[in-house]
Amino acid sequence: MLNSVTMGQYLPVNSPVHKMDPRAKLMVTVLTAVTVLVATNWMGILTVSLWIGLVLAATRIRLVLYWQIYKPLWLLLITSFVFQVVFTPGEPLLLLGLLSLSKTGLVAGGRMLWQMICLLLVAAVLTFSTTPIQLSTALERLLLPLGKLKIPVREFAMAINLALRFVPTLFDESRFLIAAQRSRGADFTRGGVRQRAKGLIPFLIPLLTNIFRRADELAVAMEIRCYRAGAERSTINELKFKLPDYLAVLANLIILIIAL
Amino acid sequence: MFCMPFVQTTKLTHIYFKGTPLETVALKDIDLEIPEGEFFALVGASGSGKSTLVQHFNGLLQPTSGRVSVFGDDISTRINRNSLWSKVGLVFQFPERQIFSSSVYEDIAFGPRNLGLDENEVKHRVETALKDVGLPAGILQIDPATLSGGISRRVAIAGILAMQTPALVLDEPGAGLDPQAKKQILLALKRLQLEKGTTIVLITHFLEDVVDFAGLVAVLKKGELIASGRPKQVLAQPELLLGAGLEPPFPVAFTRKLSSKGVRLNSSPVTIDDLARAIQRTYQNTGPGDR
Amino acid sequence: MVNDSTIALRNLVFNYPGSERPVLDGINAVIKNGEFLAVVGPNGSGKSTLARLICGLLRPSQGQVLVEGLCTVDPRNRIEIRKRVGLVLQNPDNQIVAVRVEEDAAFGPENLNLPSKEIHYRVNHALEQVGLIHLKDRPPQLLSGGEKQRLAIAGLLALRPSFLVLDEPTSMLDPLGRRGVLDVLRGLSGEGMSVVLITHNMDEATAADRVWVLRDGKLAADGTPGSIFSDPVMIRNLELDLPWVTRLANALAGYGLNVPAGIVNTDDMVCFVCRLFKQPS
Repeated sequence: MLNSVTMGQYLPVNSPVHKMDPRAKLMVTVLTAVTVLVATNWMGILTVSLWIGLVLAATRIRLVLYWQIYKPLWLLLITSFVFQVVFTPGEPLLLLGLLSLSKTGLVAGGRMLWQMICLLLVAAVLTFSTTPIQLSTALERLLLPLGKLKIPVREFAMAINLALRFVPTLFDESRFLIAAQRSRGADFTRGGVRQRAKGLIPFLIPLLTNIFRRADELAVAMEIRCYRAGAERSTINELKFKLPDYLAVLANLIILIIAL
Repeated sequence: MFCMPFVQTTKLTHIYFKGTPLETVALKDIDLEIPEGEFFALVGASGSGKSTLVQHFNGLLQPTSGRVSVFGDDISTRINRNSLWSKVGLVFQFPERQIFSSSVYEDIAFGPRNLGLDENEVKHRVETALKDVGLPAGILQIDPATLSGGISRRVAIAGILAMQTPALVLDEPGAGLDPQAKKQILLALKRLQLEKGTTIVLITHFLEDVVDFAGLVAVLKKGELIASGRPKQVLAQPELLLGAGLEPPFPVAFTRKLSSKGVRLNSSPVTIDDLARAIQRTYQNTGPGDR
Repeated sequence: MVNDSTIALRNLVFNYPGSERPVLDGINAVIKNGEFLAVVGPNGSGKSTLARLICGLLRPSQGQVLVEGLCTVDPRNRIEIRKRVGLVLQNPDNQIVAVRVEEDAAFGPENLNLPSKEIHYRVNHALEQVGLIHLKDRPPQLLSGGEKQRLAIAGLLALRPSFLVLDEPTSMLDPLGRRGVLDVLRGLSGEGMSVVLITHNMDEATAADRVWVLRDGKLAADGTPGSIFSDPVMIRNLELDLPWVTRLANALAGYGLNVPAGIVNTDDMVCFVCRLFKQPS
């Protein structure tokens, strides 16, 4: 059972974004991410923020679900923000002991925080609205020219699909093992660093074994259904670039130019 | 206290992800008492809340509302919850997935060592537990990864038995095993109950096993307790069981089929022998043999 | 052997590498097209190994497996054999490839590089056959165990196989899930699909046309369920678990009511008891 929304989980919703060609979505994702990273002027930042807001609304997925992906990450976000603020040199506005807060620091920290939030949102839109199989098909088609350079594009795409498929499994197995080993008196919080690391063994070893065993069986199930690594595959829903797909990519290109 | 129950729940309700879009009511207003020393069966279809319920018994979960006391202690306090693992052994579904050591001995010894026992006592308990599940001492040094499914299941169960908790909760311990292997596990549990007075709570959907082994049974349906009592009474009600997504024991289902063809037996048999006797009695009273 | 539509096992022997004792030891038998075969035997009797040999996932140590005349060891036959023989595994969770029911059922035909229209047609038909068409947009992870197994069956049906091999498909399911899978298998068998059901549930075996009993790697018995489960000597020698109907027959005999040999499934037994009460003597 899936008990919570995790990164990389597909949410079946009937929305214009869900209906887009996965290749277009992949392109938009990459373009938006690039725009977020290169945007320095306020105009650019504002436009791309609005664009992301528009895309979010178009997915018809409740904002609460987007909020959920930040829950496990907020500590990381705050820490990076603080580090960026503190370690960016500049004219101090405020002195706290040895630490100084400068305007440049605050701006740099704020910009990085904004970038991280945007990148997570963009990635969430892609995975919420695209099944891993669609994603891997899109990736495969877009990267196929690289196949000529002897890069195993198809295997790479399938590997991504399977990795995403295993995310919920990984969560389930972890939850089971924590409960099962705690029932035998395991305590993951006791003692010093070494003891704690040792305390993780009863958890990590079976986690790996179980995941490998499942992956092994999945490999058999795939082989039985005629999967051959690297062979050409068709897809049940033929990919077709339609007007909205062209428009989305075009709009995104314009935003990128504005941001530059 | 002499008559203190193993578990007592009052209006136990458990809601997963309360206040989120994924909110699910897993258990609703469960009032249940499990007497100490009993072999208690908990039955219900998948998703009926059995596994959620028993995780309250060893402190892994606490109720969203309502009360749960285990051996007389309210589990709403952290201190009571944190020590529960040493009083209530919990065997999860497919427990062989929790084996982590490279020898059978080390794995079974994990629980007893966490109890802080000295190595002599640990050794003694490992050996006793292994014998309880019917495995030879010869496998103690073997790598569990090389064992077959049925054997590694029993090794995992031994890992819980070795803690010698006064109560044991087992979630489908026979799932996926062949009938003989399953029976061996159930017999071992019955022996523990009879010889050591261990309270056994067995989650299962094989109602024939409930008839053979349990003294009391409770039926869960979509998070609610819909029946409890002696197996011979509860399990003789095919409509109730089918409504809960369960398959009635063969004799009950058979009697129901007979009555749909117009043949009524003059009792409600739950075991094969009772069924045969009921058929023979009815035959004597009404059948051609009478004439 | 152009028109051969069977699976033939010829003097089949299988050793796992490094192991002295063969898991399967000289099996000679034929699985006919359209039959419903149950394979029973205790854990470790070689049932699962047999399933993997039939599908060509394992290579025989000696002897051969011929699927409609194609030898499983020849790598050139691999895809042709996969198309003809499907295998359902025990654990319902580990056979799911995709995150939508429809995409999962489509995985096989996609691998055959079939056109999208053909895939749609096959997938819809397969999902209808297993009664999952109304769930085609759901994530398979949210299906029940029984529904997952039926999805695994649909994923194979979309490859249009002649033989469906199932390795203990119900042993991890609850009663409703188990019944759903068995109903699907009976339906498919009624439509002419060959079904090989590996099980340790004797009651499931009584639903088959034919039963094989494996013991210590040998084919210890091969016959109709009636002939196998009504034979007390065979049951004792093979240490078989009894189907419920046979247990009832034995109990009735204890009360002086003799059930004729060959009654091993519930419906026949119900008929027998009804006749007992109603027939004038």
